[in-house]
Amino acid sequence: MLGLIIKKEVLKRLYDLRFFLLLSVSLGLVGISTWASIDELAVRRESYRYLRYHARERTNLDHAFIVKPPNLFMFIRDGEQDLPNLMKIEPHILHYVQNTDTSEQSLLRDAPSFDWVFLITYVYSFLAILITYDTVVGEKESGTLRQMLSNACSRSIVILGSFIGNIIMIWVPLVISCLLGMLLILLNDHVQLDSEGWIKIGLVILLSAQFILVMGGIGLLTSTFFERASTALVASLLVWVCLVIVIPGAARLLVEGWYPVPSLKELQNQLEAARRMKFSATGLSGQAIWDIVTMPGLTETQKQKRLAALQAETYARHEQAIETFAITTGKILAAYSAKLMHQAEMVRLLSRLSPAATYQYAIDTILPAGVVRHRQFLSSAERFLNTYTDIVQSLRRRFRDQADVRGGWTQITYHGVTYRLNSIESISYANVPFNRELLPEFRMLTSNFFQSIQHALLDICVLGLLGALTFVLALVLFLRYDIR
Amino acid sequence: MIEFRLLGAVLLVFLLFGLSSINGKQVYRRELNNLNEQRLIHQAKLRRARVYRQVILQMLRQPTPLSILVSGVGGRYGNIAQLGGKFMVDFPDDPRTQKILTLTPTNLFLSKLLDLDFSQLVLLFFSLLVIFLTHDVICGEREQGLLKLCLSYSVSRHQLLLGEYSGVLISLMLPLVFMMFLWLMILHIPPVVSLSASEVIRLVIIWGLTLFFLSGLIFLGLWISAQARSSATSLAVLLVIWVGLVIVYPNSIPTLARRLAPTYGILDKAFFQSWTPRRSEDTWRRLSTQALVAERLRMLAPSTAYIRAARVMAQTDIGTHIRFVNQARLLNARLMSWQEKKLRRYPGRDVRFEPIPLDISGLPAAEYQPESIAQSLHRIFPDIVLLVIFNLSCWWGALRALNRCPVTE
Repeated sequence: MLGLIIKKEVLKRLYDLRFFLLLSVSLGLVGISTWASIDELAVRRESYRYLRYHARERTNLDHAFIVKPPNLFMFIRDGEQDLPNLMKIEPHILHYVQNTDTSEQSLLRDAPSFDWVFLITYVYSFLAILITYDTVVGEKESGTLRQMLSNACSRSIVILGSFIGNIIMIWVPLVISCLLGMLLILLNDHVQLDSEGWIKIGLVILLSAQFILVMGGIGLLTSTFFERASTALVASLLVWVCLVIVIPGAARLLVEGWYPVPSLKELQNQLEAARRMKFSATGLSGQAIWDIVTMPGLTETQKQKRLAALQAETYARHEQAIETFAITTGKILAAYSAKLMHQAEMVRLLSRLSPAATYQYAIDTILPAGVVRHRQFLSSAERFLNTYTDIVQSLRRRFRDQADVRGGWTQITYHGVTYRLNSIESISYANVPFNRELLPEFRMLTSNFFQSIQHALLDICVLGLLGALTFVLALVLFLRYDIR
Repeated sequence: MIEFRLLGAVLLVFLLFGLSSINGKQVYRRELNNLNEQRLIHQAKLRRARVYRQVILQMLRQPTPLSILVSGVGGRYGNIAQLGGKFMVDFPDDPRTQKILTLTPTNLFLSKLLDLDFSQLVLLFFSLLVIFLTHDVICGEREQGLLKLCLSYSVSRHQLLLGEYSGVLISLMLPLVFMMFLWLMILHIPPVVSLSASEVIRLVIIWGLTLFFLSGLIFLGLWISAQARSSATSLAVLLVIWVGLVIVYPNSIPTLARRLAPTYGILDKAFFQSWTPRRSEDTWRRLSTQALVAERLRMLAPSTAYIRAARVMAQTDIGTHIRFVNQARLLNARLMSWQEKKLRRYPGRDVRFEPIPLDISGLPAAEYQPESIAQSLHRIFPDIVLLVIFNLSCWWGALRALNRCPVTE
């Protein structure tokens, strides 16, 4: 009986205008988005090669540059177009914040990327609800529900059959569209995927099917809750708007209101305070020289000796101040980035109430893509920073005498003799020749396949639970449903 | 009137709108305070200037209270222009002679799909509401046999159409009026944010644009309803149009603009090139061209045209930002010629300290000239034309379909 009901639902949908709408819309949009993404990937690759070459050329004992490789899966999920793909590193400092001059930043920021995940989240889920909202209530209105239940089949079999039939007919366009996308990838030379890559695409399709099942389940739930198809449609679309748009948007609004991140101005003030501290620490007062040269009973040689000792102590102190400044700056920038991350994490936590957000986070973790991938880039950068700092510090000690020391003179003339001491404002190693092979090569470390699955497990389970929950609720409601 | 089943949706819209307005007001106040603080700091720096290298101009773009209603891009792309003329703004760390800065805190790690402001809520919820209210107006009545009854009276078909249209429009006006009252109430909760006369006019225009956009959607709903055989088909077609107009097209505009006006890699490549005014000019030209292409694309669909027009009137659109940066660039050129004139008169005072005060007479005023209402209206003229065409064509389509449609099943 179950098979018959499934067959009936499949045939019913096959003759439905909505099914062909879903098929044509999804085929068209997935095709266009995959084609556009592959082209974009080629451009980003070229840009990456250019940046990597120049980053390597410009790396020295003062600073290094690291470049984030483009995401191979950007046709599935991008979300990184506004995130920095190039970072400057100095010993102790990772420049999380890029140039603050906005006149050299894209004016199309904050726009979503037109990828598979976007289409499945916003278009496909909408059409899934549009297909399932009248599964029960539509049958009731047309009178076929009574006929069906007059046969020897239980209500649970009817609802299960209807649900499976509908879900199959929503999955078919999804799978066909994804196959079209994969064909386009195969035909193109820009994306070379290994076996793990194809497994990941398979997992993405499975997760998308899971998400669509949840949304279809919501359609079914409203269908068993209301007495009229039009009311069920209104309710299911409202639920869709809430789950897909309102909850993620409201979560961001709430978190931004309650937990605002410090503005760039505050960050600049902190950095300025650190700079002022360095400036005061590297200043040299004439009083110290004065005390030595006016000290009674000292011969000229003794004065010169004491001044040389003072000079050495000043150098050591100033070098220490410069390093302290670098450490403080690094800490300020890291703390700022951590606050941004924390805010994003809170939004993520709150928006998990929405299956759409949960689905996106699961995809981000599995591929990895979007913010998850950028975080992995930052973690790799932090690891690289530690290695780079250690190596550079030992090299700097070796090449100390070749460094370009910039500073000022403080001098005092006493009884016709001029005494002067040098202060250090900055030490540059940019022009010191050294073997580049000694410096580490930056590699972006991404979590392996099993780790990704492990991290995404919570989101996958939440989606699975939501799917089961919506079906069970629909079943309970249908058992008490008035079919007259 | 709005049916009871839609009351929940309207209440949800009110709740979201209230939340977004309160948040918008906080952002507005914070931005205003930051800019005022920035102005004081700059004035103090200018007073301390002893050489011409230190005479830096600062032009600020104040947020408008209407940004609480329609947030748009706001100050996200920069609302402070620091101009050094022929000298560096941040000597000696940065070679730039002009900078556009923002104090608006933005979190790169947060995706920004939609700001749930007034215009977005209208686009998302009220357009859906229109679909729910209009999809079965003609075909639903035909299915129930009411259309035949209606037309048996001395009511012409176009009168019937106008009657149905007015009914839906009035139903939508009520929540819109309530939302405006709610917004004004939020503005009047201390600290009070007051509106100037021109802002009130802009507010009225935004409200009118909203009604005009919804009016077009109502005609579209009536057209499809008259054309379709059943209310289910009408609803399905309208919802597919809705997905295209509200979700797919607006979100594909950035992708389209990137392809039509590519700026491939120029920002990445600029990182390793030394900054020059010429390179900055070229970069800005290409970036602003890309943004303007996106703006042109927004004029092609009624949904995006409405959002664009509302942002232009609230002065939170990308065009307002481009205007600000262009004014800053012109001001920088004026500052440069002023510096040259002064340095001809006081040679060497670009770096040489002298005890006598600096002659800063004739220094160009760093005041941002916001767009007048007439200029804004001129800019949204294509959007208004599109909305007029949308209204007229849908009205014509609805009337034609109604004239041709059978009154019985």
